[in-house]
Amino acid sequence: MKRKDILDALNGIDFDMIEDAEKRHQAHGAVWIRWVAVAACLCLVIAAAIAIPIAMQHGNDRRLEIPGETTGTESTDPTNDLTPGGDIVPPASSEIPGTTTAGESSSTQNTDNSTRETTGSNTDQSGDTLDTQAAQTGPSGTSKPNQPGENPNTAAALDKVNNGVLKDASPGEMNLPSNMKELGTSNAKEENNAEKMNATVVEYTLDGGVVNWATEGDLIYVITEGNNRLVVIDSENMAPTSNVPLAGVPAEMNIIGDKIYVSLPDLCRIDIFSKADLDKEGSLYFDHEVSSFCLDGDYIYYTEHDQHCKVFKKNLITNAIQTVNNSNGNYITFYEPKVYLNKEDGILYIGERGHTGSAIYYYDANTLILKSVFKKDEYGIMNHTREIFHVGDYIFWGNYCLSDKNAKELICRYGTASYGSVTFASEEMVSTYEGLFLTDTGECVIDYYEAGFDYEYLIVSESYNVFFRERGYDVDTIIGVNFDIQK
Amino acid sequence: MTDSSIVDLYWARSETAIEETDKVYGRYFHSIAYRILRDDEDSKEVVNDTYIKAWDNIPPERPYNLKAFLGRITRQLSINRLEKNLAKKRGEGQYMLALDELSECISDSESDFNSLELRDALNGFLHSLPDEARRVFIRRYWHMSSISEIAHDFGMSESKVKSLLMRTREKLKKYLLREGFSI
Repeated sequence: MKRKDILDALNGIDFDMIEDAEKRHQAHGAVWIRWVAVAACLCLVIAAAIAIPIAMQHGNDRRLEIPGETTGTESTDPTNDLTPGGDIVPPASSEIPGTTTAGESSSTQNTDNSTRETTGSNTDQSGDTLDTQAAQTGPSGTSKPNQPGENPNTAAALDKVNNGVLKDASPGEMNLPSNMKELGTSNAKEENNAEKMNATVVEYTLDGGVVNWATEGDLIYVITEGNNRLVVIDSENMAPTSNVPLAGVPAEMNIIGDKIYVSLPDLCRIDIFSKADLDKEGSLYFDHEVSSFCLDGDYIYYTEHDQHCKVFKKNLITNAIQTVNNSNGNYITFYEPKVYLNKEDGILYIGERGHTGSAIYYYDANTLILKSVFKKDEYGIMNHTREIFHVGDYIFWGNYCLSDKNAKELICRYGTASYGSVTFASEEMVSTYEGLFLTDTGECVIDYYEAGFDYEYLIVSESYNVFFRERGYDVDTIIGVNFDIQK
Repeated sequence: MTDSSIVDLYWARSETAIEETDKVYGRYFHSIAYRILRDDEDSKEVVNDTYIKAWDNIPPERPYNLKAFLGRITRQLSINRLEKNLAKKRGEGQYMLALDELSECISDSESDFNSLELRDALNGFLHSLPDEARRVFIRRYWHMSSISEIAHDFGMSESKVKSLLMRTREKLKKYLLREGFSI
């Protein structure tokens, strides 16, 4: 028998097994990995605190150039692909008026404010310089951004931190040593700040796997599977303040006003809770296994909970349902879609997730007529997250930044790895699986893989505490870095 | 559009059958081909060849699962294309790496065997594996995903993926010997 015979014979195995293997699955990390990850997380934050201001200071006149990609122009044919050739300029942070995060946390509209305040909070700490410089940093230069791992300051900082500071890292309070000022900066102001910066690494382990989370002020709202709970955690001390059972396995959570909406696909419904006390206030019922959703007055846009899903618009008063169709009037399906609504511009974004190639579609929210689509090429991209982030006039999806009006207007790409999907986006920074990037220059300031960083999602609380969720499925621990920077 | 509707179009010899197949499964077939060939143009050509095969084979075939039916064709055509490319000293993908890994348990000797029996044995072997090991094995040797891709998608370290694959290959060798295959 030859080796090739095995590979040939594998072609005939049951297709159910093949499809099963196409799904991403969870693997629990060992305990030691978690602690290594905690150390790595602190490395990230420390390095970011130092590297971002430096990079921003040196980032004037930078321009991101990606061969073979382009800023597309408005097309009447939304299925046209982008034409290669041309420069791509990341959005200048000064052009971004506000932040709306529509990520996994579904923090959507409400997290908007907290994220924005977060940045303000940062400004109070080490960020005076940061914000000012960001506003001054324009996208009009020509130098290429560093590729992951190329930033010498960051590399040096990480190296020193890994070897000298954190090798004996353990949970609990960590006082950063005064020699932090040596970590790749000659900026006196940064040195002074670094000398007085304390960071406390804390973690909270839930009884179930984290499905979805969001921050409001300093509270973290989490829905978990396995035990099916809605949990509220005070990020100040990482202690749970509320914990209520859910009727089924949750899929997505939206915090809107004073209410929390949680979709429960197996029950075909969305349960509504009071944000103040987590009392259940009612349910919305559907004919489908509702998963991702967004609300707009009397209307709700939602997806099925499957690999190939239809997307619906339902009038909650009349119960009339429209399906997203193609131009022939036949319904179409999307691969594990996430929906997000831009109320201001009346655009419904449908972003696919899948390693088989994904696209993001911009639909007119009223008519459900396709306006434009971004596939990158004929077959889409390998998008590993389900997230859509809306920051100012930009949509972050996959590891691309697009105009929020027209999917054909590609602004830039953060990193080059096919796995580098965006897991967080703000005016200052974009985090992908690949690394941490400056939003306006596209410069990679930390390569996560080089740093041994193995986190998937992060959120930022009002007081600029950063919370990470490990990569993987059914992850039950949230890791937080609480900053206490004393000037 | 459902699989049966698309198959009906093939049976009606409607050229929109290919268009509809591409809309629904084009990206999936492309991803299968790309993992093996690591070349966009070659992958596109393989996907087109898949549609030609579909046109030639439906009818008389009436596949219940069109994705599975054409997915297998895409994979086989991709492997054929890769071998052709390798003969011309161009192209490189996970296929050769996967072959190298399998050399640990398969000796590349000439021996008679029934390919259908081998397929059934592999089905039995894979069904006997724990879910995690089976998924990783299939991702590596059916989809030809790289170790890093698998590690990423399954939330594992690369070393864990490698050791899991090594143990599974050892089990496969014992299983095939027990089933009477000469390896």
